[in-house]
This record gives sequence, structure tokens and C-alpha cells, in this order.
Amino acid sequence: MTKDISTAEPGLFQQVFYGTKPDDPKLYTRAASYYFPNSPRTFNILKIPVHAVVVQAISSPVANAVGVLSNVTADVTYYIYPNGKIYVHSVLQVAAAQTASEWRCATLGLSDPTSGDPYSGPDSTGWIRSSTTQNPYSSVSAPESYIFAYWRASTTPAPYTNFTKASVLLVPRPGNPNQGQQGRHNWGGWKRWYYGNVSLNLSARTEPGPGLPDTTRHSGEFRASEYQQQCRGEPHCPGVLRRSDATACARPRRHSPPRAASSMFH
Amino acid sequence: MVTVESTGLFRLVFEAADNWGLAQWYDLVNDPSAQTNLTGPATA
Repeated sequence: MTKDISTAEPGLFQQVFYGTKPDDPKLYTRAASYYFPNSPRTFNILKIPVHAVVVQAISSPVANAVGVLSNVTADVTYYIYPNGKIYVHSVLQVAAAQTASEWRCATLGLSDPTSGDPYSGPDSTGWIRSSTTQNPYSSVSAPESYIFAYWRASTTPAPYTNFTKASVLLVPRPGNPNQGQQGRHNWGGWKRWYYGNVSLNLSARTEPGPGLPDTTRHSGEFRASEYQQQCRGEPHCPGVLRRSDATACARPRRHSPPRAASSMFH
Repeated sequence: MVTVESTGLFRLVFEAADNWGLAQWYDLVNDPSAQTNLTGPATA
């Protein structure tokens, strides 16, 4: 297997598109700088209020060295709280009509040296991908209201037994029309845990998307979706996953721990 | 790169080279020296 850093696809929050031209572009990939350094991309620090850091990333998906899906622009805003909660607001916009057979709209990417390639069964080592009703996750036909992953040391062989003790939880906002269906994907050394299976059929329109200046974003139809992520240094596992963790996905919270967010930013 | 850190809890790094993706996540509770990027590098 080739480990080509030029096409690396890291991303704690990632989006992937299938059935497009170019096909299979990723919103976040090292190929953007290796092969398309002039493709527009913007990062804005919107706000550093008392309780959260708010940042915004705007870019178009890239398919390795093949091309940029420049018709599509993803505008992703992160509200990052000191306790590890991250509220994600994603707006997808197109300049001209755009279809995709599948849009993986919210993907967690997890480094896992124990991951096989391919690997289709429920996780037994490393990151254990789980959902509202299954731990570990095997298959559920209906969309689950949340997905999470934690590192299970008790069944993970050395030298990776204590690779991490962290966990991550992804909760689509209730009523999110683009939630999609949960799914897993593996490479050697890498696991993905995502909501996808959402088809896109976006039409071109001349009016701008909401809140966007028409001088810069003469956009077509848009799709918005919202999520909450929780990253923390202890496992989410049965009996530990707090109900409030999974049900609190909504608008950015007004009440947060009394730690000044201004000290978080470097 | 832009880093957002909650002291002693986590560090997140957004990288321009990755199209401004959230390319690094460190659990500072159990990895205070930030040795293990839990979301990368992700090569196929």
C-alpha cells in the first residue's frame, strides 16, 4: 500500500462527494496544497467571545491530483467550547446546477494503527465505533440519532493498547434534513465513522445564500446542516455516555464553563 | 496553521495545506505533550 502524504485526508470533520466530476473529492485533503495551491480557500476568525472560539473555513472539494470541484463551496463554521464541545454549522453552495449520487455530509476521521484494510465487521480493537443502539456498531437500517467512538484498551493488543483514552461523539441537530444514514469506512491505520448516503440535486439560482454578500457569493442553491461534536479525554461507552451529551445538539450554547475562550486561541 | 487549545484538555489545529480542514486533534488530558494526532495523517 502506498502511503502518499500528498493525498492525505485528515479531518475530524470531513465531507466527501461521489458521482461528481471530478469524482470522489474530499473537502479537506493535503492534495489541495500539493496540486491546486491556487484554488480559493479562506479561514476566518469570526469571534473570540468569552466562552467560545468561532472560526470559519471556506473551500471547495479536491480529488487528489485530478481536479477541484470548484462549482461547490463549503462554508463550515465551528463554535469551539473549552469543554470540548464543538458546534458545527455547514453550508454547501453551488454556482451552477450540481448533482451527487452521495454526499457524506459529516465524517469523523480517526487514526487507528490497529485498523485493517478492508475491514467490514464490528470493531474489536482500537477505536470502537458505536451508535445510539449498537456498541460496537454493526448495521442499523434507520438513521441513528448519534454516533460515537472510543478507544477500547481491554481488547487492543500491544503496542497500541493505550494509544489513547479519548472519545468523540457526533450528534446531528434534530430535524437536520441532511442528516443521512450512518456508515463506516476503513483503511489500514485509519477509520471513518460518518453520516452519508445523502444524494444532492442542487439547482443554480441567482440570489445569494442567506447572510452572504451578493458581491462575493453569487451563489446557487445551498444546503445547510448542523452538528455537535464532543471530544474528550475519557471514553464514551455504555453507562458513561451521558444522555445530555447526545441530546444537547442545538444552537450554540449560551452557558459554558467559566473559562475565557480568549486564552484558547494561538 | 491555526491552533485552538483548551489548556490541559484538547488542542485542535486547522491547516491551510489541507484546505483549512480540522487536521489535528490532541487529547491533552492523557497526552499532555501532544504526541498523537488522533485524526491524522490519514493516507491511503
